Amino acid sequence: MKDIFKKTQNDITPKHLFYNRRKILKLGLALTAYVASNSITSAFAQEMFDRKINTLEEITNYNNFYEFGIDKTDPAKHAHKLTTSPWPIEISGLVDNPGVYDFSEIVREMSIIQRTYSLRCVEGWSMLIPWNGFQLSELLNKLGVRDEARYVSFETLFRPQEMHMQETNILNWPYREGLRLDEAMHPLTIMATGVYGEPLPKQNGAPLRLVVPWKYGFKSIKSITRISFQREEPVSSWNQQNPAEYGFYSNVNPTVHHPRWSQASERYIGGEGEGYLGNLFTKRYDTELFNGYEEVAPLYEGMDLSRYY
Amino acid sequence: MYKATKTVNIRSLFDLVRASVRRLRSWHIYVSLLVPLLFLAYDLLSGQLGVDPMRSIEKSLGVTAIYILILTLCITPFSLLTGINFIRFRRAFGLMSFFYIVLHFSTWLLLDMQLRWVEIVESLTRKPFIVFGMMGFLLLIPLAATSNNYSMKRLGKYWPKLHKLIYAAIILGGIHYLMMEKTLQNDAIITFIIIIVLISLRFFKIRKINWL
Repeated sequence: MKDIFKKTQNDITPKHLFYNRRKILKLGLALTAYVASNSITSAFAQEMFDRKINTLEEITNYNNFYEFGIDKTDPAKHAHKLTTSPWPIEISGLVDNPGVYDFSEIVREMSIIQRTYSLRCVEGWSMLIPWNGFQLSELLNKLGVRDEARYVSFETLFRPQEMHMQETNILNWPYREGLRLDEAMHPLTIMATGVYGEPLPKQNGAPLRLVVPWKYGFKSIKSITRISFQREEPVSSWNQQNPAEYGFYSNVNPTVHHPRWSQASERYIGGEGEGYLGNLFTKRYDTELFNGYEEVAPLYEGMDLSRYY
Repeated sequence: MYKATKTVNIRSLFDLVRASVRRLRSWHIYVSLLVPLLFLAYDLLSGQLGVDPMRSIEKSLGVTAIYILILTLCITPFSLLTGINFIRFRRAFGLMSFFYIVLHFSTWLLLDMQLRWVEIVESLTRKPFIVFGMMGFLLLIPLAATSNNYSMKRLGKYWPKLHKLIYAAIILGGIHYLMMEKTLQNDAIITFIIIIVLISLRFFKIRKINWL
């Protein structure tokens, strides 16, 4: 084990809250402060105020985690079988500090932050989730990514005894995802280690998952055990399974046609009323380019987003 | 001696079933086929449809419609095999399946797409999974419209020909089900196999079996 994650006085950063400013307006989290200092004119901004953060119950009972089943209620039923401690993470490739580190060693060295992000699924629904975790860039800086590296790739645990769907061939296991290095280094990209200030529930990808809020949800790979740095574009599981439907970039983009689901709008699941009957009348919202996180636009300057979808 | 008694018992049991089926009226079938809807309403009101009840309802209505159509296809082979004859209830099965499809489609239009017409038109023209479902639904409209004595009389020999469209419609529905998720699901695969088997049976001449 390398000692780069040993605690030093200087490394410890106090926990702090960090919400994406734009989303805060949408969420109405700082509603009073905002109304006091600005006059809201946009009907769109008004509309966003009624989106509430999803409840823990909603977040933990509506999951796409195909290792535990295809139905969105399957992960809640089966994920308890997953052993998450110890959790070795293998770091390899074009990096100064390769090796195997335990999740606990890594996480205690990171500055834990909280971010409430909209999660936009390619299936046309979305949720608002209060993650806690750390910026991926902080980890990457610590690992010392070499200049030659252009991409980072991630792999989910492969353990069919605990993840029964890995016995089937619905996907080419283990689940793989990847980012361009500049996407990985972007301050919005986080490694989530929890929701609502608590450790990540297993069905949400315990103990460590990626969250890239401007990309469709399947890019945010769960239960990561391998991270590697490379020159070539990494394999991503859904792209491999069905390249016509899922590209490597998979940025949220209402203008890129998808053969199965409309990407022009999204149903925001939950928070619409009391109990489940209230969720019956989920509201549709127009989907925005990059899921509304327009600060990432410079990453793709000059790229034809309909070609590199 | 023992064997003989047993045969007689099964035979009398079947006679009893046949007799009770003969006593059935159409409205019994209509009412029984409303039971899935009652269960669905109960699940909704008791909060058992999960985080996204709309999606559960939409899917459940669609699956119920397909399974009632499957029951409709079972009627003829079942009658030949057991002598239990539901043929005069085919209209009730067909119309009730159509009823569930109308509810399924309305749920999609109102609660799912929320009358966003641009996206609805885009889905109906450019999304194969929706196109297949819609084609199946469209094919069933003339069948539902002619499921009455007057039309049967008017159409005469064309009526049975027209109603062969049910085979195309159910295959389209099965494909629609197969394509709904990112990957194939077991439920949809099993349903599709059942549909293919039942339709294949039409190509074989099944003789009436008088074993009971």
